[in-house]
Amino acid sequence: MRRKNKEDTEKIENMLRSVKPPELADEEIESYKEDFNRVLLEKFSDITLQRDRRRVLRVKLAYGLAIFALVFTLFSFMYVKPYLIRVATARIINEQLRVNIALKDVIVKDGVGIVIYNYQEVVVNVSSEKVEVSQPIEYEPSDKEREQAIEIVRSSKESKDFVAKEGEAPQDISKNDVVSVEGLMFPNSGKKLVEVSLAYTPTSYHYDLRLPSIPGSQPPLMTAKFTVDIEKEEIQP
Amino acid sequence: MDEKELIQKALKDRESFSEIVSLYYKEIFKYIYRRTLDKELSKDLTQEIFLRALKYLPSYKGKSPFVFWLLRIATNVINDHYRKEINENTFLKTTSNTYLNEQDSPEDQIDYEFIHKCMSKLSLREQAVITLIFFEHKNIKDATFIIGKTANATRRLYYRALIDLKKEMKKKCNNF
Repeated sequence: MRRKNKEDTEKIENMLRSVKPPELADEEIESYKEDFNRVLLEKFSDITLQRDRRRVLRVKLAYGLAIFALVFTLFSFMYVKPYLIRVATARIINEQLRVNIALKDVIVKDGVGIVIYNYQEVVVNVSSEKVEVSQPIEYEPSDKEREQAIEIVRSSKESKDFVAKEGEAPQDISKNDVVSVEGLMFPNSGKKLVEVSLAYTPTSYHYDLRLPSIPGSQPPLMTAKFTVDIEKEEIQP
Repeated sequence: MDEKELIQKALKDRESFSEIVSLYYKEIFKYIYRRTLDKELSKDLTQEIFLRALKYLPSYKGKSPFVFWLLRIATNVINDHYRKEINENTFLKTTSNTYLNEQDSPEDQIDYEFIHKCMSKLSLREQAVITLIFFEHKNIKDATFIIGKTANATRRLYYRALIDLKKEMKKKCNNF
């Protein structure tokens, strides 16, 4: 079969070699060439001009692309990489701790993702997918932080419509006395939370007029604790 | 002045480019004519080839002989032309007018027109490789430069072209 194919190929090769292609008179081709030279006379300068213009444009485009690549690289280091760390952190926490985290709650610091969740600091190393959970340490907030935290609590919706127990009517405790102000600091992120406790009396408490009054007796004093994120100027849920 | 110097000069100087045209016009025209068998079309396509060569002259790096570079442009220009014709559906109309009648008896006259008619049924690359090797007397290595494929791919294309050509000739004449 192979031999027959080879013979066939040789046969057709020999046949093609024996075919004479059509020949044209040299004068005829010369006349076409002269026609072309006349066309060239008209078009040469236009074509070379366009070519040079295109080359300049190409150089400009190359510079443009190089600058774009540089800006893109910088941009990716500034924005894209932190974004990718946020996404990966949220995914890893979801996989390992079964908790859904919003991307805006992830803090990116020194190439790791940090999430403050339920009074704990979760540090995620994205490359090794390692998760570390650490507790906050107490600290003494500065006077400015105290003032800010109290102000945030007093103007918050949570203190104005405070509900101590489910089913109780809301009460405004925003003007009540401050019982204590304590600071919590998370060691890896450096994030600070301030806990502000306000005094309140439960709405279910009533003086019983039938009972003899006990001198010096006071209604029960309860405290409501609000955890304030000073950076975000909001109360943590 | 050697070819390289002439090409460098031709980038800016019309006279030098005319000299290049003088050197290669005939060879390119003949190649086009063997592919098309149409003088007016060959004239137009040759003009387009040299204008394209002028436009892209800075991209010629001298890795192959200049004439191969021109033949490569020529092959692309012919392919573009036929593709355009196929798209516009005029290809069959023009070829059927140009070539021999089906009733002619090719066994007595294996002439170029008959071969050309059979070749027109092959792919454009197959047509190019057959024309270059048998009618432009180039070898596989030269055809590789001109067609712009690897040596093995060109060899495979060449043998496939021969087989396809044989089939086409068989359809028209039982001697093959």
